[in-house]
Amino acid sequence: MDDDQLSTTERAFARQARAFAHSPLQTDPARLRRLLDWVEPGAGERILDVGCGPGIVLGGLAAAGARAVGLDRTIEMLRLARDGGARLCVRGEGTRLPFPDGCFEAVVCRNACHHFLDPEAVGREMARVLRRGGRVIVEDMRAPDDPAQRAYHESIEKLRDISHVRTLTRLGLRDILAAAGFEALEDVPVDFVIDVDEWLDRAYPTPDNRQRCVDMLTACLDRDLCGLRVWRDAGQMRFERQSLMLRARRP
Amino acid sequence: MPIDPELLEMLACPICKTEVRPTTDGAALVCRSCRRRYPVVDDIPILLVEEATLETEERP
Repeated sequence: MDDDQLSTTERAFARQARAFAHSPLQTDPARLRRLLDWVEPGAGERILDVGCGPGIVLGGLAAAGARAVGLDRTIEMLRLARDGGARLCVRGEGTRLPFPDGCFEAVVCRNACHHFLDPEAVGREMARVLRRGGRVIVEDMRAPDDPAQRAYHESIEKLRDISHVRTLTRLGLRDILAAAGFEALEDVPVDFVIDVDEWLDRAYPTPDNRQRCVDMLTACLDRDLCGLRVWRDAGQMRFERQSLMLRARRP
Repeated sequence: MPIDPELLEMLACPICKTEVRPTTDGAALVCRSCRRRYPVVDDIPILLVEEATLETEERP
């Protein structure tokens, strides 16, 4: 079952790689800047990006002079990262990072947690490969705290993207880092606007599932069923993605 | 192009967490401890356990 989900994620991402790499959501310079401001990459620092995708964050880290290493499960993503100038790329698994203990000054993980089957294990691995005092910076979508809204939201995410595993709440994300032994945990909400059509197209849902997503989001126009602020703007449906950025230190 | 030496210096076996060394032809990385052989595809090392093969004998 786990292997099935892993290969599902890989197949989905092989297909999604190119659209993902050009998605305004991933490339938004303001959003990338906000993340980098939290990472504070230093010249010459070794920084690992877990689930690096097409290498957008790697590019920002390298521009700051860091020695940025990208890890992803999907070879298509890594090829894009390398074509974009990322030198240090490896195909691997977040639950079994192919690095020795204490190898990095910082570990970054953006928009990947909701694809992890075992995010707790990834958290432990991120702590292991960090040197003492090293920092972890995680950003991911956050689930609504209300259980009914959360269930509704999760249905939409799963219909849209077969590689979606689970959206965590703010507390869920914090718990993963705390359980991995991280300290000085801080978090900040990060919200941005999503264009529903672009967002759906990018994940290649079946036409049937795509329509169900549209219907479920349309139902949210009148009543907030999923904790996202859904609205129409010149005929185009949009919603507010609610994410969370977290930072902590390995003691 | 071979694997970047800077990357090679950092990589470890995902199971043993110990050093991996490239084969002479550069087609794989071998764990010094468990002898698992990890392929290198398009110069990208594949350090996934399910993609590894076990070396049965020492290679020159």
